[in-house]
Amino acid sequence: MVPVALEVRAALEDADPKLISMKNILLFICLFLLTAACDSYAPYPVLADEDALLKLECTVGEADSTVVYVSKEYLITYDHRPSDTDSEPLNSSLKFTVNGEELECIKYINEGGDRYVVHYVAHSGDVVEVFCSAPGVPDATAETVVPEAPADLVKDFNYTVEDNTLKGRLALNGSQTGSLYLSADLDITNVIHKYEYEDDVYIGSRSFHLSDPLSVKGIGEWIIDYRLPREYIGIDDEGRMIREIIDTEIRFNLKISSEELYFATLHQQSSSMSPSSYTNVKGGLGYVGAMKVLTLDTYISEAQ
Amino acid sequence: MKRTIITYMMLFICGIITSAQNHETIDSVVVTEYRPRADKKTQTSMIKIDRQDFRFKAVLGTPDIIKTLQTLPGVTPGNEMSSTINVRGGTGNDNLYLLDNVPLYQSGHFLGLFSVFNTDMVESVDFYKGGFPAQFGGRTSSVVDVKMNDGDMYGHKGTFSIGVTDGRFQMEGPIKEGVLSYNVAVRYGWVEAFVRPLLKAVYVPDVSYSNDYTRDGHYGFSDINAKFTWVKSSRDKISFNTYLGFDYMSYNDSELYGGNSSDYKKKVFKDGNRWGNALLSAMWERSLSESRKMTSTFYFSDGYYNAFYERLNKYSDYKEYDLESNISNIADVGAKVHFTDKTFDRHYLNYGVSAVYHLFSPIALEHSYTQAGSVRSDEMEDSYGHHYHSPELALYAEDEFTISPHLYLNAGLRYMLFITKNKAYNALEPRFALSYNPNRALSMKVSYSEMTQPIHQVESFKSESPGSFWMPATSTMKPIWSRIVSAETEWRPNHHILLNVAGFWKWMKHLYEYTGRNVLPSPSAWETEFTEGKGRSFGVEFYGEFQSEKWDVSAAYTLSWSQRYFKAFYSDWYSDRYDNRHNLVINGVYKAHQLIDVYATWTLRSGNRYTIPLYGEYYMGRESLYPNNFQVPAYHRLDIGIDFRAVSARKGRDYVVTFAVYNLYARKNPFYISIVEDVYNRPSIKMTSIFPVLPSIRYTLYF
Repeated sequence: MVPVALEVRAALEDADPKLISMKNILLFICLFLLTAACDSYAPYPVLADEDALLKLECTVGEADSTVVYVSKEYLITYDHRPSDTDSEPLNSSLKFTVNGEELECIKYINEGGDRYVVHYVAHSGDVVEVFCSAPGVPDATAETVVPEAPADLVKDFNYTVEDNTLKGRLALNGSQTGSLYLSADLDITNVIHKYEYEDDVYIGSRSFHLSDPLSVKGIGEWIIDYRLPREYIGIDDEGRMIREIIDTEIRFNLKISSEELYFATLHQQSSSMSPSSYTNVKGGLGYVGAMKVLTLDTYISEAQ
Repeated sequence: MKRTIITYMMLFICGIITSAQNHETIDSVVVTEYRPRADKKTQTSMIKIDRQDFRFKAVLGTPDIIKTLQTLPGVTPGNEMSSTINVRGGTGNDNLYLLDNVPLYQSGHFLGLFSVFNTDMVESVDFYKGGFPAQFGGRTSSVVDVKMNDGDMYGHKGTFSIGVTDGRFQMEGPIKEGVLSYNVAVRYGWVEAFVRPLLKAVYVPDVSYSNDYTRDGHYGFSDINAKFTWVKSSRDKISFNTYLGFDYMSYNDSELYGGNSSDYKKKVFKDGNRWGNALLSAMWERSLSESRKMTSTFYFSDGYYNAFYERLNKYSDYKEYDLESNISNIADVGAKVHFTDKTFDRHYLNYGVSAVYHLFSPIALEHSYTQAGSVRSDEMEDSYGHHYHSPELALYAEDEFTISPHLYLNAGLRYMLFITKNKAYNALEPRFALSYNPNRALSMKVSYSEMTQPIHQVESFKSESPGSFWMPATSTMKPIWSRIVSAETEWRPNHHILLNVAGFWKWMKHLYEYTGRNVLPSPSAWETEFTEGKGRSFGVEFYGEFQSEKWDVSAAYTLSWSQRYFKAFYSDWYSDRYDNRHNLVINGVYKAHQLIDVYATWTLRSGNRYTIPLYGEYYMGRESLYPNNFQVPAYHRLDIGIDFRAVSARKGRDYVVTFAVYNLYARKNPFYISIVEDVYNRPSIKMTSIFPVLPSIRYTLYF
């Protein structure tokens, strides 16, 4: 209905003034009342106490080392925010403890904030605490616990390879799934060890990783259906045909997220673009969550 | 000249559109009555609306039940023009709509402008927002019990009404005098007839893009009610009732290339929705004795919603056709047997049983793809979705006990069993009420109710589409549960004045919000895309009414709080989007002349709430600290109307011409908001309103 009214208004704006009699003027007034000036503006309200807050982003347990990203988020009405080309250093400091024991953090200073790397391999039940401070902003602190996988969680896991395609099923015990935040994916590492550039063959090796979420069939049930990338045919920058032959290593991963990580991920995956109000960071923004990754099996396909 | 014609056409069509919007006006001035049921002195939080209230107090001649309910204390409409009711902090999806004892699942036509209830067919409406009798269950916030009118057993009569957006016709009378009667009504909306030429007239195609580009829209709604009543004997009455409602809305784009040449190509895109209800029921009322009565109802009820996408590519030598339908459906087959029993002195018993078999298809995807022609021939059909067969059984009993001439007690219990895939839910719902009437003018009541709702109606919050998805409780999605405590005092010193004050406290558990990444839930795993929370609300409601020969004035004011707790969104309680703290509705009817009625309604309520970003860039701000952190300015508007009646020389024929204006002083009530940046790169909030002053006219004939 709104587009209709706008289109009507647009057409009227183009009308020949000579055709506008008194009768038409009255009609125009009516139409104006019906369609015009339906927008009003309000100044942005002041709803927060702080001009800026620290934002922490950290997923514990996804890899062999843990990374904590620290940035400074300004009020959207704040007049003195630094531009992208003139970022002020954050000068943050971070304390990362596991079960009360502080671990060493290696700090990297980036343009958008600081990055801390902690060499820590997560274990179920570990209590991870992060404390961060920086000049001019409130301290931020967060806590999470690495989730634990029940011993009999996996009920059924099988797969076969047919016609160069992985097919299978992963199902979990129903009683376990209600209280856990679960996802499953294929962690894929492709290793390219031979290049064919038209008539020439080059031998080399490089690898790249990707993650392919499994299709959900139901609660606690996923379908495995993945076509193996045995070779890739493309065109290089000079317009020549490239044929790459690769090995593939696939790990079947079942991931159990902590509640904090799951809630934070909900907003990231949402297409609504509605602002996130979830955080488990006291005094700041963002999240510190944990994940337990169970590798159920590894499949390796070798180049033909 | 062409411009002038287009201009007049546009004005006319705007009138059509605005007339549709004006139906809000007529609804809001239908005066309701606080009328305690004669047989239950303990009933709290119930409002009875009689047929006469609809018929003679409507502004535009098309009163609407849901819009009327929206003017009552404790009830807010959510968004303007919606056909839902948020009752005492409820979600809007927790109201039981009964049409002659049979549940209806889709309550609105035409994006909510009209409700599905044709008031020409309605005898009365009992609206419960607390103190629920034990016979009602399955929803947690309110019961809208609509009783259809039996056709006249001794004479034919009817109603014909025509407005700029729709027309309706109702006819009733005897088939066999005193024994068998009919009552039939149809409604049809003709907005499309005016919208389509408008779209064609004002759309300027991008000639650089294609040779011939057209845009077209379709919208239609219609419904049919029919009721046949057979008075078999002085003790038996059997009635058959049917309702069919249908809505269709689509938006088409069509492109043509190449004319009749060999490069001829046509592309058609169609995007749309279909939704509606179908209902068929039989009701048998039998007097077992002077003090006992049995009412049996057998029914089939179906509610459906279909969001579809259609694509046709037609080339000179072959064509492709692609259709994707996202379908949600709920079908019930049920039976109810209800007994009322006054055998025992000072006891009024109500008891019965209800059994219903639900078939849910929460969200199913049907996809077909066809290629045919000289190039290739290929067909593919695919469908995916889960079906849930869910039987539901309820047993209930309650006793209205007259303790003394001034003190009444009502105690009831309802048991519900709901079986869904690999899971059974049991619920015992106590109902309790106590009434103290020190004299005929004054009554004081308290009530306690627990309600369980084993089905969920979920709407994607990213979509403003008219449909909704009915989903059963499953092993992971529990039934919604509510507890409502009400206290009420009513004072009616004489026939002119009524004052009612009520307080309520309400708790809700197992509420669900959609969190999926798509507009529609995934057919394969919809249960995984919701997050659970709870709600609470409390408040006080005031209602006053003054009636005289010339005046009929009422005022309803509600002071309330409505809050939600969803751990996935925020770590504490926060205000619900429709937490309208203050809600005031004043109705006035002035009988200026025997044949002229003047109406006015003023509505004022606190604005709805939205979540706006606080940290980050305005266009990508993603941090809000807490949900619903911004409240738009107060909503208010004044509607007026005037009825001119004429009585035909032929007995029994009345003509009514109604003129009305919606939002008389053109208040810009925000319909939605967006964040924009001004020339100084400062963000501000843009509030768009789409219903300024809207005049309309309607003609109604009663014959």
